[in-house]
Amino acid sequence: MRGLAKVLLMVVAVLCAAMVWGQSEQQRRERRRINPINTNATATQSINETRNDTSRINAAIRARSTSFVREDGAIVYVDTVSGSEWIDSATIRRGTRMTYPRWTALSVGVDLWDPVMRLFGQKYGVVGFWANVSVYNRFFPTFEMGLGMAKDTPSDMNYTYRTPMSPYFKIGCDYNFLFNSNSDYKFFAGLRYGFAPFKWEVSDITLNSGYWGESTALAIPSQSGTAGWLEFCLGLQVRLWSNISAGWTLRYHSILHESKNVHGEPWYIPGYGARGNSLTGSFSVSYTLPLQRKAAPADAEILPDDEPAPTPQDTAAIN
Amino acid sequence: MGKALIKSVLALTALLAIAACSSSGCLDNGSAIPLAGFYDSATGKGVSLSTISVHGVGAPADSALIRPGSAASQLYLPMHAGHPSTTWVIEYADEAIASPEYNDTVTFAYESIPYFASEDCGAMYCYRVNRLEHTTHLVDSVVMVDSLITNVDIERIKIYFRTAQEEPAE
Repeated sequence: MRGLAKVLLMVVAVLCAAMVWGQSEQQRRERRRINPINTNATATQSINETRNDTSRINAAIRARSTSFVREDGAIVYVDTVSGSEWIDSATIRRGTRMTYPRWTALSVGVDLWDPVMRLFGQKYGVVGFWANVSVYNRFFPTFEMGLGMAKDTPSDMNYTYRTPMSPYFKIGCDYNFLFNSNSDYKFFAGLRYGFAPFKWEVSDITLNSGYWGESTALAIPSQSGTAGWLEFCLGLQVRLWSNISAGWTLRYHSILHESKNVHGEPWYIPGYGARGNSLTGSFSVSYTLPLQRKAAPADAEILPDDEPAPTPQDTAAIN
Repeated sequence: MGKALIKSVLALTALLAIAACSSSGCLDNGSAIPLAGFYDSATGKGVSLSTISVHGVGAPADSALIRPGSAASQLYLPMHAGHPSTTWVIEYADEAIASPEYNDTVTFAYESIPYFASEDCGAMYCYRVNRLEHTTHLVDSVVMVDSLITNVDIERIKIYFRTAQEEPAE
């Protein structure tokens, strides 16, 4: 009985000691996790460590800045404390801003070059018409069509050349160098591809052979032909009054392809002119139908202060 | 607008002047006449002949293109327009071969095609030679460089003659 009691007492003692030791260890661990130190140094430590933290700096700047929209659409932020300004680079427009709307105007015109040149002795040509659309007042897709004919009996020559009334077509585009200026004035350059199906004939041909002592009459019957050419244009157009404009164009052209014929090459190609003339011109009177008015410049818009400003590091600072 | 109008009128006047200055004249012949050259059949080199006369069959009397005494290395041979062929007779003035039996003839048979060369050169026939015949007394051979005869001035016919070679001095 006494032995058993001793054993029980020893077990209880061991258990109690273990409990006391465990509680002490737990307390030690708890004391290690919780170690607050509140001093004057620790109170300013976080501020010193984040003094160069750009995110905190920018947040402070954003809190005291305002912004406005510039004429070109860029957003400019202003620090109300220092007065410095910077631009949101994401809003900076790359490239040229178009002053005019996309579909600005539709123009139709008549080319009076051939009728005028006939007054000066030209033996070919009738009239031409064209139409174009103003895209941003910068690009002018153009379509031209017209009629041409020729009849010529050159002096001191032995033939009469004829081309009956035939159509021609041109398609191309002009580029206006004054696209952001007053739309009443245009200085442009352009390209055209022209095509014409036509007929030609040569009659009243007289061959005098001095050696054989004979005179022979012959003719080339009506021949069909086609021709395509490339044209480079340079010109001016000014508004005369109301929607009426006038302009002239210098044209340099070169034949790209034409049908072959055993009887030779046609002298006149409708829309192109006489073979061998690389330079020609056009003089047009046109009517312009506005499709949209020029957009008024946007007023400077002050954005609400509660909208966050971008970081200055990401934008260009302006003086 | 007034200044712009004045400048436009001046520019238009310049345009008219440029457009008017376009004709360069006829740079080729006014008719399709083939040019024939004379060559030595032994050496292939060009020769100048001064003892021949050339006339066309059917030409008016006294219509030689060249006569003895006039040296020539090339000669224009106008085709007979409106006829299907032209025959040329070459006569030799050298004493030993002055007989008509030694005369050579060259005959061109062709198709005549009405042709418009240009505004300045005018209209004419051009000839597509489809047959060439010749005798071979002193003419060795006749070569057509280009069978299509137009008004472009190039040598289209080569006539090769058998010429006497000078004996080297002993």
